[in-house]
Amino acid sequence: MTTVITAARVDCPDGRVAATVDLVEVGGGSQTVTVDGVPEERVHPGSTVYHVRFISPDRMMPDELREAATYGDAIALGEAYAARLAEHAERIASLATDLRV
Amino acid sequence: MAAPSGLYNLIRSSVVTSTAITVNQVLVPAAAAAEFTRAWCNQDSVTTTNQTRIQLNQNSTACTVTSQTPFPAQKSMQASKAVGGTSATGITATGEGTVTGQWWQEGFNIVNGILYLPVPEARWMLVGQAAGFAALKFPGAPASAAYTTGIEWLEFAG
Repeated sequence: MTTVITAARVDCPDGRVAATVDLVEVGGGSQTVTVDGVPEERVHPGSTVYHVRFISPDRMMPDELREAATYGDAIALGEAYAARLAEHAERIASLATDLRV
Repeated sequence: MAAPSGLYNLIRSSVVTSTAITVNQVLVPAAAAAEFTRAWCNQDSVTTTNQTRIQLNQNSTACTVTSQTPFPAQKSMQASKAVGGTSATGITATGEGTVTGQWWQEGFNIVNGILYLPVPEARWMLVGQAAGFAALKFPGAPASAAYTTGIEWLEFAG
């Protein structure tokens, strides 16, 4: 028996969603090609990839989609992004505090 | 029904094509939905009459494409959740995904091109999922020409 993790979510320390992870299958479809005037069905190879979606902090900016070969790599990417988001949130909070008159 | 969060399109502009490939692919992710309002295919390089077909498919696996970001109808609109990626939203497949359903298919003369413009009640809606792909595909090899193809959709993304 094999258990495959197909989806996950990485949250920031404050609870905001930082990234989502989804297992996506790629390829496996077919293409009709004509060889010497005869149509031939070619099946393309299939594979899987993890989509890591970095959720944009501003909805006017698009999310960023990164690919990872393994679940571990995908989670590492998501956690690195979550850490950066948290750092920026702290900087913005301290800037707002400094600007108060 | 909820109000759409925006109108977007994905255009593949005047690319010489002569093989049976997926030309436009849109990944509608989880927590979003897309209502397809238009699709089109025409060309700008030949005047010789020729018949071909185009189809709007639902795929369960991704085509390998050239990443392209959807274009919003207004400047002040939020970015599309159908972000670009080689196994996400993009154009010109080099590897085909698995077709699980077909919403529209039509033959046309390449001199005239074709526009799919359904009445609102008949628009195809794709509710987002990890593998929710809409794909515009030439099922058979078209006559070689510089084709422009596009998909337009209303997005429901909160």
